[in-house]
Amino acid sequence: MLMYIYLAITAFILVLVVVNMFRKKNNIFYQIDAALVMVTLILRLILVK
Amino acid sequence: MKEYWKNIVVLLIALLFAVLASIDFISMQVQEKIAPNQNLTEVKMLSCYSPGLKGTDSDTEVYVFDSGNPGGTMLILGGTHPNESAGMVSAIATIENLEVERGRVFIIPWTNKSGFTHTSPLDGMQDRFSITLSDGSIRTFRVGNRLTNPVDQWPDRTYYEGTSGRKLIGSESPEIRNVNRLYYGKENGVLTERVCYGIYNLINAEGVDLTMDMHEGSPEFLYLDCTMVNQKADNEKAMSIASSMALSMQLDGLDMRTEYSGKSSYGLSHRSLGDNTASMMTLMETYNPSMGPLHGKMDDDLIVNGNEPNYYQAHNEGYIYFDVPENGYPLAERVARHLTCISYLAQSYSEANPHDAIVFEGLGSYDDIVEKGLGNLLKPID
Repeated sequence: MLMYIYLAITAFILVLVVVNMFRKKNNIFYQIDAALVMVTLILRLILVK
Repeated sequence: MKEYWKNIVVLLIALLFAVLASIDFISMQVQEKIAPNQNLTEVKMLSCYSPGLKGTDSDTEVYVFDSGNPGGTMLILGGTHPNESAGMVSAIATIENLEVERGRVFIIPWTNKSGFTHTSPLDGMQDRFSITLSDGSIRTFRVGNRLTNPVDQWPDRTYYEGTSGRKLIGSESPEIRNVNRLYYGKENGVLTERVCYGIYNLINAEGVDLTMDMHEGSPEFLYLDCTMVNQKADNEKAMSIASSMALSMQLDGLDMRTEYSGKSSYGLSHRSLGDNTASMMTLMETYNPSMGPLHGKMDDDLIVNGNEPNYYQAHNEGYIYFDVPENGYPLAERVARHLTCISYLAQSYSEANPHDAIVFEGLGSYDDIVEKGLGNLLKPID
């Protein structure tokens, strides 16, 4: 059960990161920061790392 | 839509990196191949002894060599801690070369199989190393982590006291993923406990008389190049056999000593399995320079050749008790120590139990192994 809660939180944060990235569409550095965070969140979400 | 094209490109690049990283991480789940040995009788899975492992990443192969002749039974564990490479390589080398004449030998090369699928984060670890064989082919082995992959077992509880009797509190809580802290395991416990239960049940079900658990340690560690032996209150025979092994090795010019399990070493194989099974438990340690905090760049030279000038300097300045050789401590010598120790241990056991002897050939002497090198000890894979 804890695992599913963890995955739900991870997915929620991932969605927030993507939404924020689209909001700051003119700041390329912000977007790169968001991309770096997204890679680790995606790997956690699909239980690879 | 056009105004978001930059965002979409960044998103696609992030996805590309995630896919590439996934391929790299998933490739760690491909285990090393083992060259065929005509003397191998059977390959079982540990889930035969611990059904809770079936279908998990921790279900691991148990290689069985049965001579068909009456005798004792020996269990050899490698890869309890996957980053202690000599343990796994010694177990694989044993599987590829062993010829059992009396009794049975069980070998598990990847005891914590899940631990081989990841490395320590932020440690600058190398995930693989290669050995060139005498025919020019190359065999690659994984360097894993000493703990079960958190993808397979999570979360780490902040407090734990299981069948092992060991408390895992605070910074020790990740040790709930350490096979060598949770013996004798629990049938329906966390994944790592189920691995421990499998080993415990194998020992009981197969009537294992003698067990060797092969490890390595960082050079700062005091119990190096020695064999830890369980001392049961009702069984003093274990130390007499291990002492006989050490004495025989000393007489043959190989430095070896034996020590009793620590009184508080709950959960460790030599202590907890020794206390709770009929098997004589031993644990062997060699020095691995790639494991200590002083090591420099992690590469094949460090792992295979054991060459780390920092440790030589630290030893010369009196900070390391272990006698660090100037040219390193190669994996071939560490494997040779493990294999020689196995041979001498079985020999000492057989001398004390002639009706239950464990007799095998094929591993060679220490000098043979060192002289020929791992390139000749390990067999080519077709």
